[in-house]
Amino acid sequence: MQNRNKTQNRRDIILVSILLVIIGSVFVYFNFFAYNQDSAVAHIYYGNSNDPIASIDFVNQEIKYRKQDVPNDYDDIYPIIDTDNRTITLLGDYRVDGRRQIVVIQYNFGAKSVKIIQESSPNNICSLEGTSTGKPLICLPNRIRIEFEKTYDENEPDFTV
Amino acid sequence: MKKTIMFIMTLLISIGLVACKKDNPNDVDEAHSYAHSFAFDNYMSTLIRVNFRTSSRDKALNIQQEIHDIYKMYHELTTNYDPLSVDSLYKQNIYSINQQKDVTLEIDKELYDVILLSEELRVITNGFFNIGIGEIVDAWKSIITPEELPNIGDTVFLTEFEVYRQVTQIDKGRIYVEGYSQSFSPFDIKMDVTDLAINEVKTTVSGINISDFSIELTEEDNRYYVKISGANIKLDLGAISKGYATQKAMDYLVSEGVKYFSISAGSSSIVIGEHFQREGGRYWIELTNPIQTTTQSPGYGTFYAKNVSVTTSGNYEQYVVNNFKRYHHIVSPETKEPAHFYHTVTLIGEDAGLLDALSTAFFSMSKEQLEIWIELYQEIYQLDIITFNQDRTITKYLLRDIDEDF
Repeated sequence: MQNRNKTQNRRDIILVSILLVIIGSVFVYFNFFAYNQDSAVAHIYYGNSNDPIASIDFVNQEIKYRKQDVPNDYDDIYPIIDTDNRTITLLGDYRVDGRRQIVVIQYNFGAKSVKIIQESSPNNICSLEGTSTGKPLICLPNRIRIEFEKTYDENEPDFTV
Repeated sequence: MKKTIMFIMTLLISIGLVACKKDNPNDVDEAHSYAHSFAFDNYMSTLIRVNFRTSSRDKALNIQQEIHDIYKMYHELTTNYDPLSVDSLYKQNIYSINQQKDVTLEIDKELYDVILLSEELRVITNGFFNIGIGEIVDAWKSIITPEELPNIGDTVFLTEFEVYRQVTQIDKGRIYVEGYSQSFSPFDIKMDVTDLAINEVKTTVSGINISDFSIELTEEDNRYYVKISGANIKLDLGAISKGYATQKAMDYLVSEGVKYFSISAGSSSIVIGEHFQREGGRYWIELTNPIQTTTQSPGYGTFYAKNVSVTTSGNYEQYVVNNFKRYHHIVSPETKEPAHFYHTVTLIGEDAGLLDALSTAFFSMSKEQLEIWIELYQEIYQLDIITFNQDRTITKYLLRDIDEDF
């Protein structure tokens, strides 16, 4: 009986070790290798749409954007593009006292990076993600996501002249 | 059993470690292992974008500084808007030369070389490239004013369809016009300038006599001199300086052993080395559609090339419309007016300065005049020429195999 338990314990340890190795490998890959390539553009999406509200073009150092559809009882026009502080503000879906809250995204042309510096949500997961140069940032309660495009797309011309 | 477990563990660890391999499609030698890109817009009113690969970050930063300095120098030497600063290292610039007609002035070799090339190009283009017509260019630029949103009831010109229509509605920045269900962005329309404004400029430029212009260049004991004469002469190097500086930047990159690079000087001029990832090292270049110029519009064609310069002169930026015609900033020295033969002229060749100047000259030549030039000089200068004509046809005069799709 004792021997059986011993064998059982050993098997448990091996199983846990295998799982740790798998999880560790995946963690290391996604945090250090999967997104370490230079990005050309960061697209900011709202909701389920695949048409970005704003695109941060790191190569041309410019912001392209279209108007975000928001209800009439919100005074500001979104997105708010602040070129002095290098921020883009969208209206998220998370509500406080019935009012939708803003999500403020800060960009850095030189570092080709993006960071969510202000948002309201229960756990503030997306603002705790910190600065990203390629890893997608997703603010789930606010339904805002940021995805990166690499410097080279074989299906797109390199230049328009 | 033990062996089976050990085998499975080894297998999983191997898979895990393979997943950690960095995704790198090319075997990179050390000389090109570091990718660097930067941009600046301090000079020549142009956003300069540079991408290249070299051996290290330190080397890349040195190259960045050198390229920045090249553009800075040519900007300071060739501007006709600002005098040199009091502590400038340079002897004269175009602004100060324009202030001192009929005086022999010592200038720096770098500026001398640009003016000398410009004068050589004036000769081989039969006067279609002329850096002395700054006053005429200024007169036409004076009517190219910033865009304004129209009001309901205004008549606007739809640039894509080349028709005039009345504005019926403006909603959230979109413009609706009679006869079209689609809406237009402010970039898709133009307000007509008045006949009066056009005629005023024509009157002004007809009074500018360019026949007495002269630019004398002399060299003595490695010192360089210029003297300009003519009542209305005003030097303007805007049609060559950007390309010339870009070529110098490219020469510098090549001298540093850089093989993979691109420099884009605004939307009209690029120089390219080899592409790091594309098959055969060739860049894929798109040609701007001068009729549909909104950011989402595709170009009118593409081609592949490497180790060349590409320059487009066109009437799709900085222009006004009068009676169906675009009046832009490229002025013909022959007629003293913007020409209406082409919407764009694109050149592919080996020297960005030459291309910048020649594309400006060709823009004012008729098809017949251009074809005479091609007959005489195309092979000597190894130029590919593509024109997007006023009637929306495309004409190609190609020497290189560029796999074009237009």
